[in-house]
Amino acid sequence: MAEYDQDNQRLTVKLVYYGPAQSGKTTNLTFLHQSANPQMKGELMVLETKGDRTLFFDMLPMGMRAASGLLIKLKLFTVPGQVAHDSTRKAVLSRADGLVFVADSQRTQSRNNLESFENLMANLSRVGLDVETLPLVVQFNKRDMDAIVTEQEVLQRWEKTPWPIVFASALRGEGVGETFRALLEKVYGSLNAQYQLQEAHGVTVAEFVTQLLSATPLAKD
Amino acid sequence: MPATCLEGFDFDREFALRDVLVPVDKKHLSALLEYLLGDFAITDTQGGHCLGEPSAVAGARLPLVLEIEPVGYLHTRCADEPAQAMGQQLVMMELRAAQKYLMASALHIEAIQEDYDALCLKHELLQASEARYKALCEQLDQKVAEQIGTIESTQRKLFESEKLASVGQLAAGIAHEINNPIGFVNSNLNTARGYIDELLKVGALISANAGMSVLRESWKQADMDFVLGDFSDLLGESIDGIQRVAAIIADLKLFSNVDAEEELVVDINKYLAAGINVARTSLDSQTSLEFDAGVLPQTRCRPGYLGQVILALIMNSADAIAAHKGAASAGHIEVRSYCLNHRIHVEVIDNGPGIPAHLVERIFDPFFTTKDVGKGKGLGLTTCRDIVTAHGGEMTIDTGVAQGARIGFWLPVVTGSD
Repeated sequence: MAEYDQDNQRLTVKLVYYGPAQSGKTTNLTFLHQSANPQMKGELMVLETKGDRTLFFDMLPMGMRAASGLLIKLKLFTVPGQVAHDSTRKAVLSRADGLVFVADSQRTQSRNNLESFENLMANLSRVGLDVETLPLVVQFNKRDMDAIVTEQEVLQRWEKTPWPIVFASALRGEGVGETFRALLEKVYGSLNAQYQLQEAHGVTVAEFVTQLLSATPLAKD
Repeated sequence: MPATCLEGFDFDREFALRDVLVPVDKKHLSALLEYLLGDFAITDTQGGHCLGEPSAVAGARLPLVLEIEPVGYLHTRCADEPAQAMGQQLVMMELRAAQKYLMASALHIEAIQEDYDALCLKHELLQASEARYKALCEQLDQKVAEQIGTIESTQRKLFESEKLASVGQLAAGIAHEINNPIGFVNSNLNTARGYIDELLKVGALISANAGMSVLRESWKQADMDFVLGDFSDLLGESIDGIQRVAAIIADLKLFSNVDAEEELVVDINKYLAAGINVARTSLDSQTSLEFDAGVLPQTRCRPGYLGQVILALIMNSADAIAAHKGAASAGHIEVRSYCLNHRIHVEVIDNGPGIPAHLVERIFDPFFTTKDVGKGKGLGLTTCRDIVTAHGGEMTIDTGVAQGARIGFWLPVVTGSD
């Protein structure tokens, strides 16, 4: 649930990168931190990790100032992917305004993807979020690896779902911006419906995406 | 920092300057900033004073950005711009570290609480299921108790019916034993009545003052010498017969009425003999039965029950011998009693087919039988064992015998009242 602070003219939006362990959630944020060019960009907060694995969360803050003076502030979070950290994952997921599910394209990881996605669905209902209305983008990461599920197979498998599918290689920076752009477009829809971004603050979807991602395409996109 | 600062807020909320200053070591931060800038002040976005020398707000104003927008300002009258930038960086580093700490702590508490709640729920479910199992278990106990009740009452009924069967079997033998003397006593008495008539005729002649020669003639005609001799024999025979009946009845009395029997301190030989005598009435003439009674100390027991045991053992032997008809030699059963090491031993030895080794383990099991269908009820030896066990003794089977069976029991010699 986006947090609107009238006194400070600030709308805070929470976006969460969810997915199985080591599917590249932090890598997505790292690349956005390095390469995205939003109007305002904060430091990437990385909490202590153990052997390259997220224990609590990572957070990347960014934002834009609307013509009306409203500060639209995005906070991008990653969850810890390891099965054991479910309570932490659930707490990070709470109050999310948009979701990216980062799946691992390697064939060996299909089962983990499925389990993590089921875990996401279970946790969404536990924290009171409605998967029907929550903006969600599915990213199939690690397209640079060998022995991956083909794009055709992925599309076929997800054919009946309502969510956009994006193929990515976060390590190479491919598809990361595209994923984020798809998410921004969906999030804009729900924010505009609730906070009249266009009418009250003069923010169109194009401006929303441009100001929060980049006026020009990302270097590696 | 006080714990209350962490409680009750979401880890991902917006942080104000005052929030993130809480975990910061303000004394050392102030010392560093004073060293770097001379004087300084930190205010929040509303101008509220948070740290340092309030008058420093007159100097330069440097924004303190936590995420993307300023949460407060660093003020200093120091004009050295690189020093200003370093001071600003220093405070922002401190604030971001503090924010990171606060967020991680809050998230940790949220997760722990979540885990705890989940554990509580699990615990509740476990308790519920434990209660369910407990209830089930109690029900089961009750069911088992009911079943045991049913089985016990069935067993009692079987025991009773077996007793009735053995009583019936005995009654046939006893009826024969009693009928025989009663038959000849009856016949003797009828003959005696005829003799009395003859005597009365002689008596009438005496009353009529008949002459001695007439009397002699009449005495001779009636063969009175023979009559009187035979009369005496008849009475002697009848008394023997009545005594036989009396003996059988005495044995039966010892043997019967076991249910109301109290414990007695007795020489059990007497009761064994009664059981043996009762058994004898049921044996065929081809089978001999001997009792080799040793000298026994008196012991506390329920003697009627022991008589039942010896009867059951003898009847088993007799049945075994009868079923083994091929044997050329006549059946022979010997009962022995003796005392050894404060134990009274009783054995029944027969020359029947013996007990096959593989059945020895099972012969005391309820309902185990080697008899033909319909002949045995299978409770005989089980009941014997129960009686002997109740006396503190044990059944014995000697499997080492060359021919026939040797089965019996021993009892401890008990003289006290307990």
